[in-house]
Amino acid sequence: MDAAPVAPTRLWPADETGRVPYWVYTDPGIYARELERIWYGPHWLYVGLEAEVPEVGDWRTTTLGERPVFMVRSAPDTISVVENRCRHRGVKFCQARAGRSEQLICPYHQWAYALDGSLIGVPFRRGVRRQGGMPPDFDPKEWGLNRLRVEVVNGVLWATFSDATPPFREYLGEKFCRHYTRVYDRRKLAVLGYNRQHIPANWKLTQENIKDPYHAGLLHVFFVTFGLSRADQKSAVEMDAEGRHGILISRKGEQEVNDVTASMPNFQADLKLADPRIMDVVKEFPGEETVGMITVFPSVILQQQINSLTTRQIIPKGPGGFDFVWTHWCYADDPPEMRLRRTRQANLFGPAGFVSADDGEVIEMSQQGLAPVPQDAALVTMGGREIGDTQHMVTETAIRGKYHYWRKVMGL
Amino acid sequence: MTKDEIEALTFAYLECLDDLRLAEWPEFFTEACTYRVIPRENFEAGRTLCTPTWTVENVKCLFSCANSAKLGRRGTTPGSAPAARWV
Repeated sequence: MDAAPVAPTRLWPADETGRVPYWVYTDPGIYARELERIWYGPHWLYVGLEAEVPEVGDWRTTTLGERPVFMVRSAPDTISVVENRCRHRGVKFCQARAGRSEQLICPYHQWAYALDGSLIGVPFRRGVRRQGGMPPDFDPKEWGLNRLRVEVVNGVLWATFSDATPPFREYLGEKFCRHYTRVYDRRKLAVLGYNRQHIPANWKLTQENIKDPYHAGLLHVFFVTFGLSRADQKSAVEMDAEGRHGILISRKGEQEVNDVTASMPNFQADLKLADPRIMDVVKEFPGEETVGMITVFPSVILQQQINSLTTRQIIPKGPGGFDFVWTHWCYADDPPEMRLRRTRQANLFGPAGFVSADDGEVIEMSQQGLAPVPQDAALVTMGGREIGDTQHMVTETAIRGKYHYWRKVMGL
Repeated sequence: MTKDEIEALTFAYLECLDDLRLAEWPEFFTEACTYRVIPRENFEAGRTLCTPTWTVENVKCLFSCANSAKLGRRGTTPGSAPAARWV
């Protein structure tokens, strides 16, 4: 069911793959349809890491689409994802971020749920001294918390609202399973810490930022100056068969002046890091790639930037903003110096990161510029109009691929 | 330091940032320090990850590197010099 009709003026430009109309980022009707068809439709959504709820009774709250949920260890080998909304009167009954308890209890009328969401207690269900109470046809089995389908895949918890979603590995596709398991390789994970920020820009812009390698060597002075991202370094952009997931792969470059740096006005060859330990890269994954940035449609960016490992969860908040939750993690068996290395490199990322601060700021500036002109359209023809994997960075092909899939799901 | 002096320092610091006089910002730091901004969520959970953490022997040098991007865009010449250490 779609919550709002789409205005008839919302027609895609004639240049089908080369343009993206700005109303995709601003229209409340479009946003309502995205919630129904994308966020609550046949897609797997990132919930968290298995390591965040190690013991039975451990729970964390988060939001999928706009719906608050719990991830809770309901049995030694089971993690449940249930909606944080009492079935009685709709109360978002847990306001804390994390905790441990034997039951989930709504404070309003003390309805009690088991850790897997089953309703186990309704005060005065049979009334008081034969007065009041629930009618005889009230069956607690029908009134458990709404429970989502869940898969735990190599330490990461995914959930979906839809019965039509294929199994996670099928959803990811064979190629992206390989990319995924390069980092999520069945070793146990541990959390280093979180960053949270609100970015006043449409939620899609953050994945498009990661699907756009063109900007990396231009916007990010830090990357350019210290040799982490250069338009001339070996790199690749790949997509799944649908165009919805993407990966940006690159290899560390050297800091040198050549014809490519000449077109990078932000390149400053005279700057050197006094203490280069933040860029102290240790090779730990197969292959020569130092960066693998995966956008899993629609909810998360899985970041491997040198030794920095992070999930970046997207929580949409209306067409004009989203919450961005960064979970910085390490492997549970990392030696202390590796944890320290990952923690140091985390300075590059998050809301105040030497690199990522640029992205948060620039997509906010995008929203400011495009919001007043929904009838206008972005130009995404860098690298041509085709949709396909490439072996270079000067392309917007993954943005084109994303909209190919988005239009199909949205019926636009 | 007196209470008035501390207040004056705090207000000067805030005004400096409000006015985006970033080149002057490092002047508010001592030469050697650890500068950490830790999210409450991490602190309460006993996690040390900060946004960010810098340990520095000479903070002025650190900021001239770290903020070269922003400063450069604002037309300020970033300083040279070393001796910052990451923790």
